[in-house]
Amino acid sequence: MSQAASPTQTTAPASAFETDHDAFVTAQPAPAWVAALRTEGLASFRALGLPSSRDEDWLYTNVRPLARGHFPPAPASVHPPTSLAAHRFALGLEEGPRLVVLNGRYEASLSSTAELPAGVHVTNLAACRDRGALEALGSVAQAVKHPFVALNQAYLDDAALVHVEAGTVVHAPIQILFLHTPTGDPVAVHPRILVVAEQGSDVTIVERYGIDCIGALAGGTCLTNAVSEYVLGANARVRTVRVQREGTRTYHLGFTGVRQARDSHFQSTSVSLGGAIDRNEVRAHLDAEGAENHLAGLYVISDEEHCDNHTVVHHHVPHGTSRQLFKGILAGQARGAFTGRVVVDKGAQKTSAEQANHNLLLSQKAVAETRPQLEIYADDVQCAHGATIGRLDVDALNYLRSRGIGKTEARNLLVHAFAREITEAAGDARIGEGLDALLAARLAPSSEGTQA
Amino acid sequence: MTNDNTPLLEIRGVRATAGGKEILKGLDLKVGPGEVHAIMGPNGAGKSTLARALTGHQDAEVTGGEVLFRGKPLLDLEPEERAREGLFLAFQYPVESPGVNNSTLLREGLNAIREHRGEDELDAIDFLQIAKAKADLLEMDHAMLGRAVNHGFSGGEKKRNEVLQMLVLEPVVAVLDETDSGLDIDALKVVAKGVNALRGAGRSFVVITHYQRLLDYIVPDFVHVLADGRIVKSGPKELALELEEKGYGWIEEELSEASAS
Ligand SMILES: Nc1ncnc2c1ncn2[C@@H]1O[C@H](COP(=O)(O)OP(=O)(O)OP(=O)(O)O)[C@@H](O)[C@H]1O
Ligand SMILES: [Mg+2]
Repeated sequence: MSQAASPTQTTAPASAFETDHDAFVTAQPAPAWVAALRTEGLASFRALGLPSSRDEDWLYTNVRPLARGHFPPAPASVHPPTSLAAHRFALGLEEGPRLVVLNGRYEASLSSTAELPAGVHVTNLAACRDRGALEALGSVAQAVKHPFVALNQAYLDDAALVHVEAGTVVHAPIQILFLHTPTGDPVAVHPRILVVAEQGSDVTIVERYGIDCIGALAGGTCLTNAVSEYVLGANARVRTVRVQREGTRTYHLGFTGVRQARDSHFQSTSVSLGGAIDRNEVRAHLDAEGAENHLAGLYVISDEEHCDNHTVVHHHVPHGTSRQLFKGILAGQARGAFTGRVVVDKGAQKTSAEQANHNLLLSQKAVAETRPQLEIYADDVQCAHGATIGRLDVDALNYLRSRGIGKTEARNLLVHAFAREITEAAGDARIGEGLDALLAARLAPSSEGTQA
Repeated sequence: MTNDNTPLLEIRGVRATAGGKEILKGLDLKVGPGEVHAIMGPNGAGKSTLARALTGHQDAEVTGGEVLFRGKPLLDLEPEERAREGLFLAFQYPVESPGVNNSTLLREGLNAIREHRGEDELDAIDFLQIAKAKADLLEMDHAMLGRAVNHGFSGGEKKRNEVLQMLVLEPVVAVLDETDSGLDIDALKVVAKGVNALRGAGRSFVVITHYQRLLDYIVPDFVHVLADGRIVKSGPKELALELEEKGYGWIEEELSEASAS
């Protein structure tokens, strides 16, 4: 996957990401163990360099605009919001446990962790004086293997940490919101999440990435370089919903690393609603028998937006199950890409792996790329993949119109119908409805300028 | 402009192509208020093309003639505008739409029609009450309302679902394209019950069928034969019996004799 540093990069001038680091460390002091992680992250980033399009994993996404631009860490928000009420994509979760990180800093006044049952610990990194239970941090998303994970670690700031003790069932979804306030100048935030779900625990995590002010979507550019790590103990069940709604100017790089112990069950639903470059990576390791991994993803993009979903699901042992379903809705001149790699090790017999990518093109100029990569070294497995690229069904459109439904509404009904499989996969009716509403707002003609 | 005797539907010399071929070759038909017209005719004669031309379906391109709907020109309207004016087609082959909820389709359609008429929008609860009552009339399970439109429905269920839509939308003119085909006798009676429930002075039906059997339950005022893109013969309901007995050959002979003389 990621390669060792190529010699050309060491001779290239240090990127702004490197030269900004000193100022960042001074501005955001941290305990020694965090400082050590930052130094290690920076060293790995230097060694790896930014990926080029010659790198097979980055075939569809060109990150050169990041190398050319300057994205210093976002300064503290001058006018932090006093409530989240104005945030449109609440997903029906206005109440309930949540952790809010604004411009990289934990906002206690907007967060609420009081209602959580015993056995769940939700906290932010700055509150942790020593590493304690955090040895897992950096174990799933490893800086030495991935330049953007390294960069995230170099700028490690107020990470969100969720620890669910063995046997604890958390009914209310735990929301983690990463918001940033655009200033007009390009800035970067490096959100970080660590979720440890011990044996037999059960939890739903909602990750939201958004912008904190009205009209911001038309404002300055921003880089969000998010890393989330999920560590599942035996028989643990974790559901995640990830919503990215940062606007058409954002560069969003998301990395989700997952390690699964025996009989654990991981289900993720990601919804990407556009960006200049939006890249979502999932790296899942099924480390023990009986683990089950479900990845569902929806991307809705228009204009000249770009979205690249890149997954690697690695079956290391027998009797693992993985399912991937990604759907793209592409309008304007948008370009959507999906690469799904399934690796089945030699010993991983009786693996069952399925993967599908379906794309709905709403314009002549939108482009969908799809690339299944099955690397199967075991002989007794069931693996399947499928991909489609299509347009709206004119007969269905006509049928709806013949019942009095207007052309635009009929189109929207059909687009929603296409997306429903994903929004329903979230497995929670409230969240599913929230996602539908979000989709409706995204599809509305005046969606730009909509608040995150 | 309109009075009580103005035809609800008046088709004048309509020509239409399908797949680049001329299918309707100057078709005339006048449907008065409260009337039921049956259209019969051989396969491929253009019956469904007529239905598509009336509703503005993309597969039928009208190349000539005009259609007046309640006295006003119809052909310039978008398909949804025609529906809002009160035109309804029960499709010969209802379209499956996975992921679109049956009751969502009905509610959005009904509310668009109500808005056009200047009536209040129905909320989900009021709507559901209406839809359930209509489903009961057709002996349909309420669960059908919550399913995806026609997706995985049996042939008979699809036809019944078309009639349900008609009952909910309460059109002024309903065109039923072979709604009886493939139905067993019990289902047929249910469909006929639905149609008869709507029959009244201000509402008309055009019933396309191959089978006299349907017309025992939905008794027509007129029977027409559509052959080679035109209405070639019209008569009282007894004409349907004659057609079922003798087929269409004798009409074609009559026609060629008439044109030879
Ligand atoms: N989209 C299309 N492309 C090409 N040919 C078409 C298309 N639609 C209809 N036709 C042709 O037009 C002719 C008339 O079709 P239409 O469906 O109107 O017949 P019909 O009278 O309804 O027949 P049936 O009794 O079998 O339903 C047929 O020859 C049919 O094959
Ligand atoms: Mg037909």
